[in-house]
Amino acid sequence: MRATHQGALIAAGTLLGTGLGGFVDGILLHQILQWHNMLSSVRPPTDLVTMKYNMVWDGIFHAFTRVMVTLGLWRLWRAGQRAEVPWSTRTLVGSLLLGWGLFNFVEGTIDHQLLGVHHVHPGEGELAWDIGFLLLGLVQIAVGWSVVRSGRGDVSPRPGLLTRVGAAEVGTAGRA
Amino acid sequence: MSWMVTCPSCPAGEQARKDVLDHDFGPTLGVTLVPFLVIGAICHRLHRRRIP
Repeated sequence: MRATHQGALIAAGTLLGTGLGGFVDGILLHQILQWHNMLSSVRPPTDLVTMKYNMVWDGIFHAFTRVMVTLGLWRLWRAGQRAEVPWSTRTLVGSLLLGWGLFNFVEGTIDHQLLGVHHVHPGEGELAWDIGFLLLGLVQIAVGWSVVRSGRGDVSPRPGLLTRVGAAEVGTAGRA
Repeated sequence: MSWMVTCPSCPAGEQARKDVLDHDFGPTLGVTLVPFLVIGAICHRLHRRRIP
């Protein structure tokens, strides 16, 4: 049987990549480097209260990235149970990169450019950092999609799945 | 420095957390959620896709 329904695996990998990319942003840029916080351009964290205010919204942001990871894992689990979904490392890795790039581009466009709730590295060169972040997202999307496309020849389902499906069908036929 | 030890429950910290709920919670939640909703919609479309 040829497994050609790549979409299920792409959607799972993209959700996972979005969530993990969000964690990179939150953990690296918000917490370790402390370049920005979720609302640092509208409530600059200049004292204890505003720092804690931003900390709460950073936590809510992380909760949403966690939801994306959970949805991605659930989708991946479901995809692995379907014989028509190819079990392709290239498709999954490309989708992860695609999701990370989508996060950077969409979040950068909406939060940095349209709403201005925070910027990548506020201060001198702020716009350059924001544009660089968007370009990074576009590069990740392009590379991710090309890796996904390179895996379109992978048409085998998850190893062992067909055996189980076949056994189940034999069992069903035997009972009928 | 004692405030640093007790701050998670100090009056200023409690007030900051309360401010989040009292001050534009809905719109700010929407702002935080929008990028994830957009990407969720893209993933929903990708789910049906076969690679040409």
